[in-house]
Amino acid sequence: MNFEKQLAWPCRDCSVRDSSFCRNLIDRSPSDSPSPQNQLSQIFMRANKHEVVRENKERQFSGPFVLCKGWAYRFYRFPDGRRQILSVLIPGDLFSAFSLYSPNPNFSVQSATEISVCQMGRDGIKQKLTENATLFEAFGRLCSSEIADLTSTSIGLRHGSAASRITDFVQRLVKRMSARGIRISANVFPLPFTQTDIADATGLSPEQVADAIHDLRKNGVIDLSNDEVTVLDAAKFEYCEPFSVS
Amino acid sequence: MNNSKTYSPPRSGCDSCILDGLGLCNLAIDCGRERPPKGGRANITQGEKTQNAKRTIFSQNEPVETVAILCDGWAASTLRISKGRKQILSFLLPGEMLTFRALFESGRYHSTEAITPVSYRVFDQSQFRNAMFASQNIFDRIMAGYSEERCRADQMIVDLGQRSATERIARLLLDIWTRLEKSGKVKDNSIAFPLRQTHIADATGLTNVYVGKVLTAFRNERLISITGRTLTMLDIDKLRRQAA
Repeated sequence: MNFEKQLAWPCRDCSVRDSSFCRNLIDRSPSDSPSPQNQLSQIFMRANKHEVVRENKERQFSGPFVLCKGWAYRFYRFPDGRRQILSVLIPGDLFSAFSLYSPNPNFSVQSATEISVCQMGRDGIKQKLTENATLFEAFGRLCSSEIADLTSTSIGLRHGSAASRITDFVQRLVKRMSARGIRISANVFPLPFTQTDIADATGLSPEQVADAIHDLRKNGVIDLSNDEVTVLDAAKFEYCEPFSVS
Repeated sequence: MNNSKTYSPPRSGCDSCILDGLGLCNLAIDCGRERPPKGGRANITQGEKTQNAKRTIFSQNEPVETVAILCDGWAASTLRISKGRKQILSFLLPGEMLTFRALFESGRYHSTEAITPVSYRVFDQSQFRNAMFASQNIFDRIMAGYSEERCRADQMIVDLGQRSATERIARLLLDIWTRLEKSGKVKDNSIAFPLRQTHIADATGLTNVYVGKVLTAFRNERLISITGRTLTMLDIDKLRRQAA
């Protein structure tokens, strides 16, 4: 792990707490520190653009990580250097809900921008799960939702055309950002990924991604440039769903 | 316990059952594998069901009222996707939960289909959840199984995104082999293997023809042999290298 520790308690001003799993864990305290009722251990850290978690490094996960600010992605690395992005992490996401039960991560995490993260104490969360039925249910739904997102990602990879795969990838991301109130303007969303990153998320080559992005822009569907995605025509964008679950 | 009155033979999945030793399954109590809790029976409404091969056990989108454990036979979690195509999300083996997602959801996201004749045990969903909430031990065991489902979902993305046909099929065979090996179901370097080419095709996003070609190549390279419904492992190290 490559993190720089941070001392201040940033949860008070967090813009995504109320729309993420954190709302179930952290009391809304008006002060600059957690309320006494909040008995969770929290370590806040910042990292620049690099690999912050490496798979199969023992005992890295003394507790689950929450991405507080910035963008990152979870990925699988092949011995020959190939990689597959498994999921994009946006502010408010846990790296994986299941890391509460798996101390040795079987994935790596790379930050796409400068990020701030919070590592929560495993024992504290597990204790709360046994005491609070609402939290227990919310955690169960979070796990289900993580699996559902991964399944949708798999299905998206069965799209035949490069443009369909990219549209599917962006659609799912825009939906998640909208639910968390993350947007630049009505039809513009942040997307700080390189074409190589998008290629690794969609199983395409960077050249195929470049061509597909050109086609999508030319056909007035979406524009991906300057670390942003602009929805040019909402109807066309939403209609581009040729491989949805029936 | 009076076994002469209540004895039921254990099922093939009992040895590797995710619920083994948790005191939740009345079958395990009846067949003498587990000591009965106070009152003599587990505190969850439950029952055993069977289904024929190639029939649906649970349908996509139907309401969830139960969680189920596969006791005998093989099944598959399947998702219908548009254009008449199907994706097999995972193969389910004896002793495994049919889907962990059923624990916390009100509707079934995917179907479960029997590959062979199956028997499975159903538990009331809300009572099962209450048992998890009440016991750290039960919660930890279920979450460990659920984590494996997450790993399989990750690997499906890697399969469809990056792996070649050879890598996908080799990895699938090794995954099944490893799971059966853990539960002691490898005999004479062979496992029961009721999958058809069409199952492998639906699980790996390939065509039946392509699957046939890869399996023939594996046979010709003497990595595996498939005879009837038995798979024999001939060179697991080489197959591992093929799986990347």
